[in-house]
Amino acid sequence: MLKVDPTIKKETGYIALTVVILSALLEAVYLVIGQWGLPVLFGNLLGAGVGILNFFLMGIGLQSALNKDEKGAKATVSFSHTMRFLLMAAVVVIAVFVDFIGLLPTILSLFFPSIGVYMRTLAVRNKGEVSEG
Amino acid sequence: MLELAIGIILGGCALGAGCAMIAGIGPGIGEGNAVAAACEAIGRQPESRSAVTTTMLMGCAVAETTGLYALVIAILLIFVAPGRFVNILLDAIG
Repeated sequence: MLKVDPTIKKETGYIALTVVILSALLEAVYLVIGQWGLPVLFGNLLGAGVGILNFFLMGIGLQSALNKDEKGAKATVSFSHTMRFLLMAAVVVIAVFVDFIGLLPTILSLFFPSIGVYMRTLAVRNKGEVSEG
Repeated sequence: MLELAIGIILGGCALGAGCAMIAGIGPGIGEGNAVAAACEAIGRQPESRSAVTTTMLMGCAVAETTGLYALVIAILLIFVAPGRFVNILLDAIG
């Protein structure tokens, strides 16, 4: 069985934390505008869960690719990307067709890991600038 | 005539979805290149494996966002937009 790299665990944990915070924010916004309901909650849970899973699977795919030669690495990453893309497509299609899963919260939640990555990049950059200054 | 209009709507949506998915090709190629370069970098400096992995992970996650945008737009164009457009058309006709 593949041993997960500590770096991937750490980064996934950070992204998961960001996703949880953003999900709470999303729920709060829906509550404030009076649109909250179970579809919003289920959509958010589905989107956030799959978003975190996608990030983790990407990490696993990249980790296994790093142990291969250049050609093998490209093939592994392409395969991993295709599979994760299909997973995302399945989730969005489910959100479209299942009534008790909100489409908008699902789509928004799928983007939370990306927002987390941007925030992490900014935080690391600012930290670097502070320590340099 | 109505069938033709609905056909144009469905065709337009399908064409738009197909065009949107062109953006899905880029992240796959980009990720492959990033990992190939990372393999090379780790091969040169094995002690930098952790730093390279973190940077690569972040870069790949950012690169993948564009593909996700395309995917969402394509699925909405296929499953959601045609129904809405046809309803708008039928409302306009009366």
